[in-house]
Amino acid sequence: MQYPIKIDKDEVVRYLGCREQSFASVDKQLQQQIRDAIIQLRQLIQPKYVYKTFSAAVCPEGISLDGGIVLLGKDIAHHLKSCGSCILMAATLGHQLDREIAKLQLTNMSQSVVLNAVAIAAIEQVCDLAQEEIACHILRPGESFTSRFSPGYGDMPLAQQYLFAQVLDLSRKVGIGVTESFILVPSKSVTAVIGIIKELDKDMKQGKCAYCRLRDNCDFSRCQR
Amino acid sequence: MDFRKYMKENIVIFDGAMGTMLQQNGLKTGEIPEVLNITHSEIVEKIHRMYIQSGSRVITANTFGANELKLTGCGYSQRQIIQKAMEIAKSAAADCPHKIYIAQDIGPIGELLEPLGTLSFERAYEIYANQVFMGEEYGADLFLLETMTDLYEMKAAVLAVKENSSLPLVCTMSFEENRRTFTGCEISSMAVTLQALGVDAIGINCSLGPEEIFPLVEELIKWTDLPILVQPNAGLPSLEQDGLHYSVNAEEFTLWAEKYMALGVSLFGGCCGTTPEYIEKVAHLARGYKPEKRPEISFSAVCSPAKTVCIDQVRVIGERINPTGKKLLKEALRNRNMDYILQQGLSQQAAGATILDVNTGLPEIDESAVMRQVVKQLQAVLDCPLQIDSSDAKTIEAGLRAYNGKCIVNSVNGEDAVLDTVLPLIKKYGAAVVGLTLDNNGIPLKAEQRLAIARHICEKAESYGIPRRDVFIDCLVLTASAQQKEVMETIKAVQLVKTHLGVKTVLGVSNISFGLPNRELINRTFLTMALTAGLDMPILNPNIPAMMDTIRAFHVLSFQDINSKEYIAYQNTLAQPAEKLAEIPQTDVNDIDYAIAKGLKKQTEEITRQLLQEHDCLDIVNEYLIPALDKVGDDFEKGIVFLPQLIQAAEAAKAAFTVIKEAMSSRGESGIHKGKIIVATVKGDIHDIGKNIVKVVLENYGYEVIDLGRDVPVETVVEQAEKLQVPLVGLSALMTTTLKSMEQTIAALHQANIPCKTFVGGAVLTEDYAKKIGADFYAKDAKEAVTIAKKVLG
Repeated sequence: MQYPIKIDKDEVVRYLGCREQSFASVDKQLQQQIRDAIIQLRQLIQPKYVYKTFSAAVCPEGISLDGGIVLLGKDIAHHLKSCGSCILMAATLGHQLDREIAKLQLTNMSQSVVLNAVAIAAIEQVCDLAQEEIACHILRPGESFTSRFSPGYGDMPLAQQYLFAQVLDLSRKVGIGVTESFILVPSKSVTAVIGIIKELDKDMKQGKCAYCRLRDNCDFSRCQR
Repeated sequence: MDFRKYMKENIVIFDGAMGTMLQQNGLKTGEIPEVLNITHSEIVEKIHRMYIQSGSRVITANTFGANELKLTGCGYSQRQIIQKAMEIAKSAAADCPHKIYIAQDIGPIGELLEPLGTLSFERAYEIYANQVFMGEEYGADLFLLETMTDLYEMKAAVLAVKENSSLPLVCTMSFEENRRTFTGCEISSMAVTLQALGVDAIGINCSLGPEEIFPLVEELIKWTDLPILVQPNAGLPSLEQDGLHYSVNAEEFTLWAEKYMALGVSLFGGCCGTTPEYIEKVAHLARGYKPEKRPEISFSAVCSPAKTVCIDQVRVIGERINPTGKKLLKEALRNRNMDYILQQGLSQQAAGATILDVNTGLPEIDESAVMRQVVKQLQAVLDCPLQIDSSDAKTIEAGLRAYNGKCIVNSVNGEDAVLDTVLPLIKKYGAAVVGLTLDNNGIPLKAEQRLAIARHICEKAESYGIPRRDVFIDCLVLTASAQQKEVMETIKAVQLVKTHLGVKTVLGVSNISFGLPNRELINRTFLTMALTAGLDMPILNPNIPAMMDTIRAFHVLSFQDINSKEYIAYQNTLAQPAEKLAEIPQTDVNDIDYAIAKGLKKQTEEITRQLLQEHDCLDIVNEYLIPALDKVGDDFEKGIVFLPQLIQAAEAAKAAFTVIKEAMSSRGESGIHKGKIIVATVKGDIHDIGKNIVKVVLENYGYEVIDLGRDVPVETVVEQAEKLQVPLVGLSALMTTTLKSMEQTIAALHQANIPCKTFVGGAVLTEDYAKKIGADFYAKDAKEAVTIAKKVLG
């Protein structure tokens, strides 16, 4: 990663459970906790990402990529229906952060919760930056990316994390493992499909919450703002 | 010629990449490379032949990912794939005029081990052992454990090889440019651990090119005298329109190979991006080299994955995780209250302990099972190397097996029966050992007699292959109040042992002052005497500042802290004013709401003390603390305060509860018993921050919370709910996939007719779903959990 990570403090406040408020409006003590956590975070993360490009075509099960790989579900098919190609990507903040959050849960639970929220904001930011870098490398004029779509969104099975692990060689390339229950380790890791489109299809659902099953029942959501 | 012998006499050329070659020959993204052993054996064989023709003396069978997890669903059995891989390799080597050594290639399992992931160490061992059995059976000449990034996984694999085979074992790990693996393992820790485990050669592969790996190998070579294998990538990859390109060509690669050989590297090959062309040039170059004789290492070191500790200056061993005479720790061990034990570890580390002693010996508990658990959990949050403290061989082995890195075992003594039982374990698991200078006749009074026992221990250890640098002698401290005459004998014994045996020394310093007033004074004076005599590792309580100060001063006076740098830096931190708290001017009992709401622990304690002068303990709880917490809870619900503030309030209230509990026990009143609640993160799930928040908040409302941890099997929840007769069980799950475990746990509780209520929480849960899976309550947050607890327990 070349770019410095800039944490959106308002987003941190939202991850802490308050969607009406901004960083400026919360208690001074909490503001300081957030600032401290951001400083701490910078020393704890080793952001890394990896990606591969594939051709993509709608098939009965979902989307078929070259090499016989199939992304499952109606939602991903819909998401990529106008895309001739896509990328699979993964990004992580690394293991050390998880360890520190676990340690803080023993010594300072409150700060641990704040650091956790900052870390969630940070992994989103890392994904955005990675996406920008990748765009510079592979997008041709007139092309753009769709939003990111991850296993577990809509009807795409979480079990497809294994596919990402294998195709992107995640444990070797960036140190991400998948548990038996399809949990990514380190916990601040993301896998995603991003479609490459010629022109933005107006009908397409966009935004991070478009396919979320909890969208009507969520405290953190941007779509309700 | 046996590979071990060949390796001593020759520069050993390994092969280059298999994956890169398979891709060039048509392997598609997403295909399992090992399946080609069956479907395209001719391609795999051709690649082996090309490497042999280029001069590889070791070829790596196509078995890198041939473990039962990765091969699941590939259409062939693991046995078929490994058998075929070995056949192909043998066939490729058959018509070669000289011996080609066939390495069974074993890579990472692909799932992360506990505590990072959920795969248990024991299960990882099994998975590797299966690979090893088959490699042996189908005729491997050696094992190559490679591209590992987790030292714990490496240890599981090494034990799987060494316990089931006597073939040579070569181990490599992959590091990032920050000199750590993805999981945070240091180069030094890899070297120290694997050398002690007795593998045949170690090294670094993959991840980086020869230029980036070079400084890493320069470091590695300082930490080991084992032969070193390097298999770099062909530089760094870049993705171009026509595919992946690597930055280092064969000529450059060979220039680097020459530098490596000059440095003392005697096994060399390639990883990603390298081809037979690279190997051919390197093999040609290697004809002019013979392995250099490298100097034997002489330092004493122990380590955890992220921290290597050399015993090259005074190193404090923290003594607090030992139940002897500690009521709270006894209780924690009995109840497996891991948080308390971990906090003891963290506070000692913060106070300056470099190594932590761990003793789980209590008559009424399963010492070895608890040792295994405590070692694993301490290592999940702490970087200090540990010292396994037990006299029970079974407990020692449990601790040694569970430990990640190279630890110390405390202890053996001069009795042959003990030495012959414990030393083989030390050797096998690669540890250092503390030897007590006593035997069947007890502790000798004279220093010379203690030296004789120490010598016997050292010689015995050497006969088991344990070098003297890994034997630490404890000359034993007798209490000054009972055996005043012998105090100087201990000091003298330390001097003798240092001079005559050249070993590192340990002493349990705090024993000196039993039965005397002002123990601290006696302890620190004795510590100074012992340090001057040559004590390397005092075992003491680092939380007592005077003891740590003595050591800091000693480092100055003994010319170890050069220019008093550390001492001055430390004194400067003391001189700085303590952080200003958001003080309230005077403490008034009516301010308790404010103090709790702002999370001001000190003020909350102070006000509680004032309240205690006029009120009953329970009245304070019910009329002041709980309402104050409730107010914060209400504000939390309204969105006026946030989770971190709710938690701080709860923690401030906890400080008040602690004051009240002390008062109650001194007044002889019975404690606050609001009832027990079990909390657990369900099987398969490792996201436990939510559960931990609920725990903190419930505890601070006065409930006794039994935390079963994360990834908790269904049976454990049922068993504990039954055993402890809890009226309320809280379950947490974050993932849609682990909601199933939650449902199963609730069903199992019902089926076992446990008369408890259940509440559930977690990001993907909803009220409806909670009902559907049979939970009695849905807690959307920690505040709600309190409401539920009040309903059920009052």
